[in-house]
Amino acid sequence: MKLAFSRKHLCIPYAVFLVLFVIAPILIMLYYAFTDSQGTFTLANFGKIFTDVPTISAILTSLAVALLTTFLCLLIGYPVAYILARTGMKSSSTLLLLFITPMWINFVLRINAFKEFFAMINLLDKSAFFNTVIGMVYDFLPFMILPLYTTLIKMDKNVIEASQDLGANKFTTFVQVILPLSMPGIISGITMVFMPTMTNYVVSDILGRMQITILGKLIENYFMQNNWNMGAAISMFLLAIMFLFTFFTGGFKNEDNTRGGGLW
Amino acid sequence: MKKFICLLLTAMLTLTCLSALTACGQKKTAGGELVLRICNCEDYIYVDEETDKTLVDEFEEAYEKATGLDITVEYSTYGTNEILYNNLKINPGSYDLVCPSDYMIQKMINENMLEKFDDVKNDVPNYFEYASPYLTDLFDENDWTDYAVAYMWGTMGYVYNPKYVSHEEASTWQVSLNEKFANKTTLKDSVRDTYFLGVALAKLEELRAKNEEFTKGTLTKEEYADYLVKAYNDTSEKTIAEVEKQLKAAKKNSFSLEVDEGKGDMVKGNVWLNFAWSGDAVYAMDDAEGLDTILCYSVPKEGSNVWFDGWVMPKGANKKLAAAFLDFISDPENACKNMDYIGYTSSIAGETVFERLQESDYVCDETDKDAMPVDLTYFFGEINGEPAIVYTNELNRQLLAQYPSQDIIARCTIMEYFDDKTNDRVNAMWNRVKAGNIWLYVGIIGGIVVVAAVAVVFIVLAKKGVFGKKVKKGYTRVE
Repeated sequence: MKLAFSRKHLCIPYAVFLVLFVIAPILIMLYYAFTDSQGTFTLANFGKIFTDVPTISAILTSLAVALLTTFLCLLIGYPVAYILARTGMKSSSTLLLLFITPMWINFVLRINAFKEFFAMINLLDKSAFFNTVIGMVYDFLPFMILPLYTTLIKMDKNVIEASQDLGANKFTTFVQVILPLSMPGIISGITMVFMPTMTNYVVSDILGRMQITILGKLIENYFMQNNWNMGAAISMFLLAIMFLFTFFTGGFKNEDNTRGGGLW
Repeated sequence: MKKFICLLLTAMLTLTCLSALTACGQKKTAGGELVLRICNCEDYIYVDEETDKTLVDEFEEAYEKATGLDITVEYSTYGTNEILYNNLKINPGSYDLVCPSDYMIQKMINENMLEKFDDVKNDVPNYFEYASPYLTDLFDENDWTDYAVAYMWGTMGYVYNPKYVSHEEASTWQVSLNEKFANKTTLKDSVRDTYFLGVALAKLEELRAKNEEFTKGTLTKEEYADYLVKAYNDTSEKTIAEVEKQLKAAKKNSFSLEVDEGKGDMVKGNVWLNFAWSGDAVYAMDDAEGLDTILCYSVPKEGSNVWFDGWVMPKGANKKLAAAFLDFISDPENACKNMDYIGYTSSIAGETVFERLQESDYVCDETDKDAMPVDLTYFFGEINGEPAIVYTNELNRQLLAQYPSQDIIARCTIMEYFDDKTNDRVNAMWNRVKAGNIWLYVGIIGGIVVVAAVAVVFIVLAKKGVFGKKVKKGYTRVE
């Protein structure tokens, strides 16, 4: 028998990888999410998500942290990306590099260094919530700047010139032309900041000194307390939120892919 | 042919992936050599800083020398007692020897997960000769002797910075609620230990009254001890509710919840008061001395916890090998090495350990000014027919953290384990304590949504040209 080898066979390792490390874990999580500690079917875990004070508190805390972080990142990131992309400075790529370089250092180290810095300027023992948000903004700013920068640098200059030719002033050009055209970058930046900040509990542990509990931390707590069912249920809930978020921001569409902004 | 090789490579890659997965957790028995599988807490054994050799390596060599048999020790570490417990539940028989804490040992005994020592008791002569009578008595009283040998032990209390906190203030658990130290205290992110603190806060008055009765002599030592163990391990609904209230207040007053960070924060001066295990306290005090900072340790007068970690053999363990290892680490020389490296107090007493203590910086000469005697006979027994007394001029520092005086021991009690139902209740309470103020976050989210909505409206209006100068149709503006 002749062994027929086609390019399809090269997919086998990936298929195995996907089954073992993506599909199987999700199935295991589903099993735990829908059972109680005795292994019998129950929906109580999901009921508890919406009735249990610690879970509601963690969801709200996560939302508050993520929304505020995303908002601040956009507020800081957009002008930076705009300046970098538009001014045509010779040094703009160097400047961009300066924004990316911190990402080459492990973020746990950076956040720990940030903690020392905070202690130095006597901010560390102030609000755990705002310390966490500041840490998150510091950590995720490059994820906002890069997609924005990529979209803005790719933008056709002629469109802007056309707008000016037609009598629009700078403000109108920005609102009518540049902003709508950079929407994919904004959405991609928001996705990349909003989703990880919901669960990145290293920042809230170190800068928030474990005083605030966000969803990622809550899941860890439940697993540490040997309550895998509740931990799995919250993970599934989080997965559902992420799915909806990605769906509504058009993350599943293929066209004009600026997601990752050339980072990945 | 080329295609065939490609296919082969693909298949091999898949197989390695699969076999790597299934290989985890399997026991190596290559060549029929002896394998001892140990699971210990992290950083909980001596490591020679120059050669990187651990006490485990030294054991392998010593064992091979003594018996001529090849032995391999598979040494692994665990993060928390709960993780170790889960491991043992999921993979029964995966370890020969593990080192959990007191309450977890009780839970394991109760769930019949452990082997008894009986027939290998004689293989651990070092332990039974040198272990402190205080700990062996404690184990006898609680019927743990058949299942466990003690490893390290200590008390819980406060590490405090005398620059800001007086000894008087640090001698009561109430200091955790003292607003004078707002944002300068810590709590442990470990439910069992923090629950203990919560109970102390909830029953403060009662505990104080009993302590006074005991010091006056109206309460005997036994009665007091009985009271303490019941009071501190109380899990009635009423107590849990009160503990929740107190811990919420304590959390509000605290700088952080931590497990390891407290030592560093204490030394750096980020906090002034750290709810800590005595071993960590010694470590922090030693560390601070290097930076010319003085830190102290106190065990509050309302009573505290005396904890220990012990070695137990899960069901199906190789008892002979486990016993040989225990005997080796119970050798006083090795116990001293462990103590020097880890900073915690070994359960091993005896002359060698006592001499090491007398030579340490923590004690002073009898003839020194302000030298005060500390009687440690309860722990060391009599040394050469003499009571074990050391002298110190600092009663609230390393010496008493490492070896509490008899007064301190009299007001310390053990932690008992909680059954699953109680555990769930206490965990739920702890999760509520850790939860934040819901309305605050609703407010913040509302604020952000309003700001975002205003921004969107502004942009929409701007797009419609409400703000900009309107350009007349049909004309092009020339600048």
